[in-house]
Amino acid sequence: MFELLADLDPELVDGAEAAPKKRRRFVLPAAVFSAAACAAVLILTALFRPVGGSTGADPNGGGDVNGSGWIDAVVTETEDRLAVTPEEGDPLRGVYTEIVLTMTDYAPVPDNMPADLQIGDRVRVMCNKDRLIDLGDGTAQAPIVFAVYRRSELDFSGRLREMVEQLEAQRQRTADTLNDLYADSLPRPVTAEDVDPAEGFVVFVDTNIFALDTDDMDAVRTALERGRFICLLPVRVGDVTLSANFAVGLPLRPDAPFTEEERREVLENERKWIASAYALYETDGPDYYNALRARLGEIPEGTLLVGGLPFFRGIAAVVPDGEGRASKIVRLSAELEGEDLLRNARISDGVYGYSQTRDIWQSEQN
Amino acid sequence: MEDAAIIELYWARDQRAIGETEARYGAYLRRTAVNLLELPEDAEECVSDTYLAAWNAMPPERPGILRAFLGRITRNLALDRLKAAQTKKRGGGAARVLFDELAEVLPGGDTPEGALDEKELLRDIEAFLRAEPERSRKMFLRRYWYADSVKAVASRYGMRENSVSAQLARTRGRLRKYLTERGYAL
Repeated sequence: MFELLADLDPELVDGAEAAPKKRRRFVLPAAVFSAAACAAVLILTALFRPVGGSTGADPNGGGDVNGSGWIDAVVTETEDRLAVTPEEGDPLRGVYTEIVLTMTDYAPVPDNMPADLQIGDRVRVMCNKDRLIDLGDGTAQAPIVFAVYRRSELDFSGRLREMVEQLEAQRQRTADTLNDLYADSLPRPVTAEDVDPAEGFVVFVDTNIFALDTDDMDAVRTALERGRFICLLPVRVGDVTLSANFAVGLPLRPDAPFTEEERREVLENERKWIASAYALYETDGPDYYNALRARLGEIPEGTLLVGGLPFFRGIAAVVPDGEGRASKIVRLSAELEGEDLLRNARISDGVYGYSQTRDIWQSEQN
Repeated sequence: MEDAAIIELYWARDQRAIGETEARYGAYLRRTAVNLLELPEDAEECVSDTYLAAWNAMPPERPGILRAFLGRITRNLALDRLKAAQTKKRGGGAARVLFDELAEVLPGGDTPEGALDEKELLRDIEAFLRAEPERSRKMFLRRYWYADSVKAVASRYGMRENSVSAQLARTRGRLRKYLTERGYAL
C-alpha cells in the first residue's frame, strides 16, 4: 500500500518538501555560523563554563534527565535577535539576566514558535539546558532550541510549576509502576525520561459550573478551584500512550473508618500529588494541547480543562473571550451525551457556545 | 532554469533537458532514492532511470509540478528495485519498517473492483490529509511518501524521535479510524 501513496496529489506531496520556515530577523550574522565558525563555537563551548552537570549552579528545572529542559522566561528582544530573561520561579533567574536563542540554518526556528512574539510575552523555551553557552557577562546563549511556546497556551490552570515540582520526584516511581502494570503491552520499558511532568494537564473535576448563574471567567475559575483537580500525565513509549493520573491527597477526615496504617498513609500524602490511576490507550492518548490548537488555532490565556461536566463525559476546555467571559466549551475526549440537545449551541465540530450550553443544561433541570 | 522551461526542452526533444533536470532536482531525487534503497549505487542507477523515464514521458505529459512528477517516478522505480532485492533477500531493511507501519492502516490485497477502489481510497486519504493539522500532514508525507527516517523527520521539525514516532502513530490511528468509518475493510 506504500505504492498507492505514490499517486497522491502532487500539491500535497510538494507542500511537505518545503523546509520548515526560518525567520531571517533572528539569524545571527552568517559569518558566525560558517563552517569555520562552527569550530569556533566548539572552542567557545570548551573555554566558557558550560551550565549544568557538575560545574556551577544546577539550572535545570523539569525534564532534565538527558540535558533537555525548559526555561520560563519573558521576551526582551525580537528585532535583530530573539532574547529572553528568565522569570521569577525559573531556576535560571538570578543566574542569567538574558539568554539569546540561536536560530540558524544549523538549528532552524522551530515550526511551533508563535509567529508574532512581542517584547514582554511570557514564553517557555524547550532547549538543551546543559548546552547553554555562558558568555561571561551574566548572559548566555542557547545553541539549539527545540520549541517555543506562549506560556498562556500551556498553563491551563496556573498550577503547572507547582505540579511539576511535586511530580519531578515521582518520575522513577511512576515509570516503575507503569512497567509493572503494562510491561506486556509495551515495545520497551518505560524510563524516568519518558515521564515528563511538563507534558501533564491539570484538569478540574467534580464541579458542575453549568449550575452557576454567570459566565464570568473569574467566577468559573473560583468555583473550579474550590473543588478538586487532577493532573493527567500522558507517557508515550514508542507507539503506545499511557497515562498516570495524580490527585492531591485530601485531608484526613476525623470520622473516616481507616486502619492505623491507612490513616498514616493519608496523613503522609495530605496535600501532596499522589498517583491515583493509570491507563493504557488503545488508540490516541490525551494530547489536549494539540487537540485544542487544531480546533481553535491559538489557545487564549485563561483556558481551563474540566472533566465530568454534563453532556461532556470526558475532558472539555472552557475557553474565555477577550472580555473575561467564558465563551466556548470544546470537547476534547469521549463522545457527547445528549448531542441532539446541544444542536443549537454548536459553533463547529466539537466546539459549543458556553452560555448556550449552560442555558440548555439549566432548562433541562426545570 | 524554471520548471516550465525545462519541460519545454523535453517537448522540443532537446537533450539539455536531462542536464537541467539533474542540476535542479538531482540531489532531491537521490535523497528520495536513498531513503528507500540505502545503497548509493542503487540510488544512482535509480535516478538515471528516472531521467530516461521522464524523457519517455514528456511529451505527452506536461506535469504541473515537475518536482513531484519526477519524485513519483523515482519512488516507483526505487520500489521496483526494492521488490527485486527482497526476492533475493538483500537490503531494504528501512523500507520494510515503513511497509509494516502502513500495513496496520491501509487495506491490503486485491478487490474485485480493483483500480476503482484504489482511486476512491486515494481520494479519501487525500481528504484526510488535507484536514490534518499542517505539521501532522507534512510529517506523515515525509515519512510515508519521502520515506525519511524517523530521525530525519525529528531533525527537520526540531523534535525528539520519540515524539515523532508517537505523533506518526497517532496519525496512523486517526487515518485507520477515518477509513474504517468509510467502509474500508482493514
